Amino acid sequence: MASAPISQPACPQPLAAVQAFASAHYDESGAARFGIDVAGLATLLTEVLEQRDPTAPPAEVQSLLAALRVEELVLSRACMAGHDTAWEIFLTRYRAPMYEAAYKIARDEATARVLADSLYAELYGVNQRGESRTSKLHYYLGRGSLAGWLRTVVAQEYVNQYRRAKRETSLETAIEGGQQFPAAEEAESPVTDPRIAAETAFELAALNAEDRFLLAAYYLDRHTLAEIARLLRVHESTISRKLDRVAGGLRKRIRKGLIAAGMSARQADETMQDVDVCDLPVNVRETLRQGMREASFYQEKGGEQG
Amino acid sequence: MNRGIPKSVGDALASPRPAEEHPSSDLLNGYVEHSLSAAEKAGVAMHLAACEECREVVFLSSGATEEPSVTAIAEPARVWHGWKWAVPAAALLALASSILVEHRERLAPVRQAATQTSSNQANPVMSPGVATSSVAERDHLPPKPASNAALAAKLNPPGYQRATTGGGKKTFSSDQIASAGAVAGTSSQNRDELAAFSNPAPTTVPPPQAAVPHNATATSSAGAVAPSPLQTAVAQQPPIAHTFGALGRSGFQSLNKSAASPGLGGAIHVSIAPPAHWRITADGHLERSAAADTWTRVLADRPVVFRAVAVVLNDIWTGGDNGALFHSIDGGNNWSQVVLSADGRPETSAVVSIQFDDVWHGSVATQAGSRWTTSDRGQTWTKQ
Repeated sequence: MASAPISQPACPQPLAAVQAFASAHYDESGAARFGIDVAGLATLLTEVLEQRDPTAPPAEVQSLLAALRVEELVLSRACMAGHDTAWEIFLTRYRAPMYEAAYKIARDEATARVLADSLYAELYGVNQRGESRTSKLHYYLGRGSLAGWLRTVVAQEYVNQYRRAKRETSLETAIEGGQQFPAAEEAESPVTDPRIAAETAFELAALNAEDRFLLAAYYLDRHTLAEIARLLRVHESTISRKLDRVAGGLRKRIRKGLIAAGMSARQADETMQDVDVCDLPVNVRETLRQGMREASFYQEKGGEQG
Repeated sequence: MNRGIPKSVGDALASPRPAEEHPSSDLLNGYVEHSLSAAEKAGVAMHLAACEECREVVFLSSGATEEPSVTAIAEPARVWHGWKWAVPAAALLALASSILVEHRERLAPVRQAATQTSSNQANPVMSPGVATSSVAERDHLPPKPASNAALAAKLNPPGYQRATTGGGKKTFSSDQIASAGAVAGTSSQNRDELAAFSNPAPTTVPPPQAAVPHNATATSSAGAVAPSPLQTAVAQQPPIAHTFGALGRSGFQSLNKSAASPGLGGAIHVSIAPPAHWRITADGHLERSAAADTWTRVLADRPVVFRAVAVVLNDIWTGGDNGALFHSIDGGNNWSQVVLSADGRPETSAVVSIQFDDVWHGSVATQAGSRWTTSDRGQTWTKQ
């Protein structure tokens, strides 16, 4: 995955609000144990705010500061600076959880260890060739917990590794591995009425982002209700009801739009190629194939997604 | 049931997304942890709706979330599970006690006659063979917390309680059940457990400040089983807590009926499996015993010479060399390691004593003389 280049801190001048916040939260931040004084903490916070949103108006600074994980942020910056005590604390707190997270993500001990080790090198600020560079901790901006950030970074690295490995697998290796390839699809695909594409695009765009995410996660990626519910921190039944509502509403609105565009009700139904829920997986897979040249990550991991 | 989406919607959702930069790992983590502002959340969700890779990242990250730790344990859930077992347990106890007392009533005339002939009317007001021991023993039981009465009232059906005061139908109050246990010639251990059945309040998890019976066993001072230079000790789980723990695990299999002492003429005797014992062996291993003379090594995979163990309700604490400290909240089935550190410096001196007043408040002493205290069940420790 592409990521933004690391920007060098510009050492902006702290705002008064930041200075006041640094003074008020200096003790709980634990900055003193890393030799960071109040002014240093204010500068650190200002840099983080600049990284997060350089255009944030001063009025919003207060709320941004209030939501910061100051203690973990200070620890990460102290680690970046190579503070021994900070690294001791970091390792004590996060070493085991990080390996555990890597194992849960990779589901394979060797892969998990490689993942975690490579991440450690990046956190230390050294790449695999031993060249020095900026620590990856620079990307931690205190929005969530440091442990959660580490899990996310491990997950990102895992997805990256998977895609890299996928690209590097030769055709021979794939065939030896038992992979089968579908016959080339027929050139002519059923001619779709342009009105349905336009109507669908319109109605999808009218959905809010969360609803689109829900549809994609469930119908395209085939995540379970439980997985989605866990991510969104709601009950499975809530997700189920919401999916019903969103999908049903979408279907109705598209149908209505098609009829308004001049189709008969029967024609609209046929054009929409109404699918029974039992047939849905087949159609979704077809859809994914059409959308992407390489096999989908989820198709590859389909067995694990359950 | 989800009805599915039209094919055209699937096509549109899966269509190649416009090239755009992925959200930072910090933003994705914020989304997973629900710590983003509304604007940030909407932005990330919009990207996630179109980006399969980032969707996978957030789902992987969410799935790799740590299992609920000590802090994440929902205390109300424990209370609920306790009640689930407590209700049938109380019902069983009531049944057993009824049978017991029924027997006693049936034998009372016979025993009364025997008592009258043998005691030469030494104690004429005493009810035959019952009052002395039961009342005396009951006086030694710990005082019932006020909340126990309410809980007992919930456990006992209304008719049950009315009958205790009004007489008539043979039903018994909690105290009577406890005294019946004493009369029945059960051991004091069993009597405590009978009292625990009839008085299940301790199964409720108290609030942090609530007074829990101070059952924590300081390691070095507890009854030593095998003397050793490493302060070998045995800690016994409190009977009440263990009673319910054992019932929860074994599904009341430990509750059995057997012939009681001859003095009771075959009265029903309720015996319950002994509580688990904990000890540290001479060579520094932690062991648990659920049955007599059967010790199972616990945390055997940890290269630690254990020196102290303490038990309070289902919380087990043990520690040893190099500041090692372990905590189990489920009676020793699962353990988590606790790191004692102050100012970024982890404790390296051996833990030689653990003392917990209740599940929340406790202290740990090290060989170097430092003392660590906690008031939040070991979540945070303060060095003194």
